[in-house]
Amino acid sequence: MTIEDLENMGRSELLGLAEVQQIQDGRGTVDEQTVQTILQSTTAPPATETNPKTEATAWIEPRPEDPPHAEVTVGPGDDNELPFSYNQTRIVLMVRDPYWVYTYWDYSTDTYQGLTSLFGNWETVPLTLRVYEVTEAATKDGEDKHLFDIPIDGSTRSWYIHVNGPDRAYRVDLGYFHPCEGFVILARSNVVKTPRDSVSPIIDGDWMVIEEDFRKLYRLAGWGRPGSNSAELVESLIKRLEREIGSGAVSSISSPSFGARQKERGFWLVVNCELIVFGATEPDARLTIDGQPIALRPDGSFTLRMALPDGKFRIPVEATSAAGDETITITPVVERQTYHHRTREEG
Amino acid sequence: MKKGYLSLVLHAHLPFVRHPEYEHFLEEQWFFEAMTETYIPLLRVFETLAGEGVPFRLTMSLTPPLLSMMSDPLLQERYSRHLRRLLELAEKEVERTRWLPEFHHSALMYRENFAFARWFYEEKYGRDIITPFRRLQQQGHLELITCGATHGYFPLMLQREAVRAQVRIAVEQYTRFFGRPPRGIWLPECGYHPGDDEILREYGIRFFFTDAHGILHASPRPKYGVFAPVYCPSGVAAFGRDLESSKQVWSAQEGYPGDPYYREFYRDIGYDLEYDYIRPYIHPSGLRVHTGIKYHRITGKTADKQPYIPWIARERAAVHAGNFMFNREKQIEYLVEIMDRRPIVVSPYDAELFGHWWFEGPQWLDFLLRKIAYDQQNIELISPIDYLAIYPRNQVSTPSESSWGYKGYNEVWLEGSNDWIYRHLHQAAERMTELANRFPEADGLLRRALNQSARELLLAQSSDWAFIMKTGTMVEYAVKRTRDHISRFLRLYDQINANAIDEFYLSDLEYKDNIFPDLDYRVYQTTLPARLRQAIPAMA
Repeated sequence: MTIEDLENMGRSELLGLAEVQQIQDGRGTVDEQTVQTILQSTTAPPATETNPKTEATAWIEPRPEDPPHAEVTVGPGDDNELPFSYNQTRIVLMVRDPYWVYTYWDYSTDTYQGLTSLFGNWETVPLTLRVYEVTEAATKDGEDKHLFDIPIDGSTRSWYIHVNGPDRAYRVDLGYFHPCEGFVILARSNVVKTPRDSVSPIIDGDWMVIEEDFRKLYRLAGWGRPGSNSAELVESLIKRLEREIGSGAVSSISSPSFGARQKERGFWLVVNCELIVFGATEPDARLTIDGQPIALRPDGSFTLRMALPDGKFRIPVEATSAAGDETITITPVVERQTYHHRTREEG
Repeated sequence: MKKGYLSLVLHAHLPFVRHPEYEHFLEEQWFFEAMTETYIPLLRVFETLAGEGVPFRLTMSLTPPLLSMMSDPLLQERYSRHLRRLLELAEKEVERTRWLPEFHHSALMYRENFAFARWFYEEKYGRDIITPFRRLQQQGHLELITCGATHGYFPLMLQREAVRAQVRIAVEQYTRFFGRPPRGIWLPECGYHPGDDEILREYGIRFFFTDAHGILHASPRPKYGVFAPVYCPSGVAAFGRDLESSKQVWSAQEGYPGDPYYREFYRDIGYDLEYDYIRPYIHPSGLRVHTGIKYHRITGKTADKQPYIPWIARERAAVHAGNFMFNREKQIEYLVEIMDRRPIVVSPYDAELFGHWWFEGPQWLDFLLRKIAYDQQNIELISPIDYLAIYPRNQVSTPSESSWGYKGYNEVWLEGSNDWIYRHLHQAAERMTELANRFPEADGLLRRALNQSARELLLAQSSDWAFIMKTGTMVEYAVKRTRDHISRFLRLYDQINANAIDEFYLSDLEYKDNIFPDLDYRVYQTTLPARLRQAIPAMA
């Protein structure tokens, strides 16, 4: 991947890539540093751990000896393009975790045209997100606590905001800076509250617990040990990931079932034998091979294929007429012996 | 005298995947495999124990999409076809491996399993796999609970009406199948948002679960941690997941399913065997897929997998069941010293882990339930609802917003790969409520269109789609499902607004997306909270 490739990507693609590369940007912004980090991580030699993505493609590609199969895709379906915009000027706020919130917004045509004519060009509108903390005290005063502003460009329509405040309520205004009137609000978001990330300081007098005992309970719940929660959750995610994507999705096809290829050896050869027993009788006869009943095809023919390891095998094939009064047995005796020989030119 | 309680919870869920427009559809295999490898083997264990008079009690969620698929005639027919072919393949494998003793006993085992599944499904229950669950509930062995209507992720739903519809439709479907309303719910992905419990109470639900930190970070501070429930201010009880017992089963490194003698999931004859031989049993397009016949054991971190030996694996399952029970006994003995009441340890798992991923899981459960019944004195298996009867008085506290996803909050379902869906999902939910309020008494074609709009919204909301987008495999299908259902919703919405409903289009959608045939779109109406309705009778 080159810097040109990255420059041709949209912001969301870059963020997606950053996510894949596990670059914790922390600001939801794409800047020079992010680009460099992505470049480093994508040009670095492939990691030794198996990447779910590469494994996933492994199963889609047919094995070289398989004939080409029809494309199994989702097939032709609806015209399912979703609207780019719902022609509303609005902003919505959502909680990601105790430290981050996510917001998306949309502009109506009226807003777009109004601002474009005011500033001459949509790209030059000084659009801004204004982040507030909502507290009871501040609401009483009629004004929420203004935390910070995030300048945005006209093509951006969502943002992850690092509020870093567990158990607090937030709200975001979408607006722009008017040359004379200052910050003008276009839309106001809903209020969300981030989750707590620690034990509540509030203790109920009727349900008192000795601090030491509570710590024990907390530790016993598997949470208090350093690192244990995330490790456990990561593992459970991996398991769930495997479960959710169903069968076949992540498959490590390492070797065929007989005679694993031995990579550590240079030149190699694997030979196996299968045996096909076939024949025909009256279509209404009953047939067994080595005592096991075998279904006949409508024309009375049959085929059985089986593995043939080294050794000598008797395979009695017995047919009994429908009336049960006649029986014919034919017994092929098959022997397989395998010899290995290896030569190597000196030098 | 028992010292404490253990509540095992199995969450059985698959997204609604049903494509009548195709003869064979790859993703329908998820359901078929789970039937053969998980649901039928679990029922086999439960029915055998019940038949032998072994006392046991588990809690199990059967999600509405799963119940819909289990009772759908098209999928029943397709599963029947799938089972026939599977059995045919197993027969061939018994022959093929006749002189491969290291694989032959496994081949015999698969033939027996599949023959049992076929007998159980076709002969014993006439393709009605829900009846045995209902019977086990009536016998007191299972406490069946419900889930969100389509496993929508509640914490990221903006509209309360959308959450209410997920709960109400689920409760109504459960009541139809099981003859009484559910007493408990598994919140999809264990996703709890404070206040959602108010909606649960409206529909008579008594308890739900959160991940451990949901309870540990509840406010006020919960006296007993996760080892006793708290009552939300609504009066609904919340039980916290015990991470210790979860880890023993879930963990890839330390967990039981990683044992080298257990069966290796990834070595399937669908991939291993010669193409011409396996061709009739893989996807009709020729794409190699898992067949369910796997002859190797995990062995270790090597590509050179050894043959699977069923009786040794069974021994391991017995040892692991003993270990699990021993650890729970120790855990409860320790807890009793700290607590002034008997603790409850809640251990929830995805049901599909048992049998599908962890092949020996049902055997492990079988051993565990028998050992708990006969080999110890300290633990009693109960359901959360029983605990509430034993201890009706519990601390009132509000759990913290949480989920059982990676990092414990909403990030799995809200990140770079899937955050684009929410502006559409929220828009659709908002429009659905608008329609339901605008048409309080629709009938005829309009009513059908409104009901179908609700189905499309519900199907788009499955948390499975966002989850698959994040995990990065089968993404195309998850994106298509999301786009399909939302675009179908938007098109119906436009047709309803223009008073120009295309009946042909509507009928096609009713045929394809036929989940919840009895659905009433008015579940999306805005309702005032009950206490407000009482205060203002004129508005009721």
